[in-house]
Amino acid sequence: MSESNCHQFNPENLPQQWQPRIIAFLCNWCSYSGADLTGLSRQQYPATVRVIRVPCSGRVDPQYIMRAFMKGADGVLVSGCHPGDCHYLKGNYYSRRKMIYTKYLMELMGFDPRRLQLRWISASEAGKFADTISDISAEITALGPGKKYKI
Amino acid sequence: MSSYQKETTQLRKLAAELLTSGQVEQVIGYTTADFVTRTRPVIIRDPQMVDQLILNSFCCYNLSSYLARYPRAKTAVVLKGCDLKTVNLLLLEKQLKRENVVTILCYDDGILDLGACAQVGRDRELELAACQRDGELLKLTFADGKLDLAWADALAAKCVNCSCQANLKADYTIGEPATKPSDPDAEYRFVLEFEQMSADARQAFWERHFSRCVRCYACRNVCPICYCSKCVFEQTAPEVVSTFVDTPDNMFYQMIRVQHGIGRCTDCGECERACPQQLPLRLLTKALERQIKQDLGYKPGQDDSTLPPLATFDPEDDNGPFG
Repeated sequence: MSESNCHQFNPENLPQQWQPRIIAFLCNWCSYSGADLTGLSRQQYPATVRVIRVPCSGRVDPQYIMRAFMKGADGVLVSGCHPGDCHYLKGNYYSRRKMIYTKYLMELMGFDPRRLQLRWISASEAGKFADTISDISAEITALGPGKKYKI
Repeated sequence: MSSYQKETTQLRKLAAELLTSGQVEQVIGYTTADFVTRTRPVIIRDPQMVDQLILNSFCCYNLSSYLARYPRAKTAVVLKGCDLKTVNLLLLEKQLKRENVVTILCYDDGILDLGACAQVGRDRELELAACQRDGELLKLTFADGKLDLAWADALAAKCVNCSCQANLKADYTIGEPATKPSDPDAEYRFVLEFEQMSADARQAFWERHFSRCVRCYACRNVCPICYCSKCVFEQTAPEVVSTFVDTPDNMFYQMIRVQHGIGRCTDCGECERACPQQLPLRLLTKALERQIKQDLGYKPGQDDSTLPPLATFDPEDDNGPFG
């Protein structure tokens, strides 16, 4: 069989102050607005996150999360309205269950489950968004690049 | 093998009655194939032909996938316990109409997989001339001699610790349920052993296996709950998983395929049986099944009215591992 092209993580090859690439699926109504407010209020947070705006966290199909990892994401954040406050009433309830089992499936395959995070951030929680990104960036920096499966 | 003569006769009689009375237009069941260790699916429409139907320990196919091809015809289908669970799920997901389906549950002692058995093997199993069950022994006859195996050694992996012997309702039942294992979680033992491995060991395990995957898509094609007319793996715009056959792509393909079955897969084991590379695919599906059972108390396919867990929600769910 062909050699696996799973890259091995060698810390010596990292550029100085390597920063992770985190893909964030933010729901349009709460989390995206919350992130926007973070920017408007000039709150600083690490420039590690790439935002993908979705109408609802329930829209986030686990295959997109896996594709993000395939394409080199070091971490994925899915964020939506607080349970009970979904703009579409129920989307975040579905996404909660989906994310729990996606995380478990990743763990089964040997991926580090800490690379997938789910948060509830409302439109007014600018500080929470900044803190979330800081925390997740710190955690993923410590884990290192997720380059093993970059295709 | 365990003689299913009585059950076969009962089944043929039932099929003839169903067809002559007009209750069904066709009966989907098993018939003999070219080798002793093989059967094949058959669709009987003429009551004179019911003698083609057989029941034996090599009836491995999940016939519910054939059922879904005839949504408008009144069809009776021969089902093992594991297959009946799939039919329940398909009814739930409205892929089948209840009034067009007649389920015939045939209890069995387990399906034999002599190809996976070390003493026989994939080539030799096709040379089998006859087999007979004698208590806990399986007596095999080949052209050049005989061989005795322990019945338990010859069983297919999914049939060890079978949990499909009780609490299943069908329109007609043939045979008696076998004794259930006393430990209801015995079926998950192989999963628990796998979960003891470290993350790196697990990753190495899957890398080793998925380097052998040839992306034949047999696992998806044979799966009865993979019924999307436009499969996501065949989309190129946008592409979800590349069709390039390499270990990481193979792993992601399998992860996504398994993820589509979370809370839906009834562990019929067809994916693992169909895989030409004998990849341990049931490990993933069974581990997820166990996690769902533990968290939500739900087991797919037990009835045809409780929605699968990912198709519904409870506002009181907690955030699980996300805190």
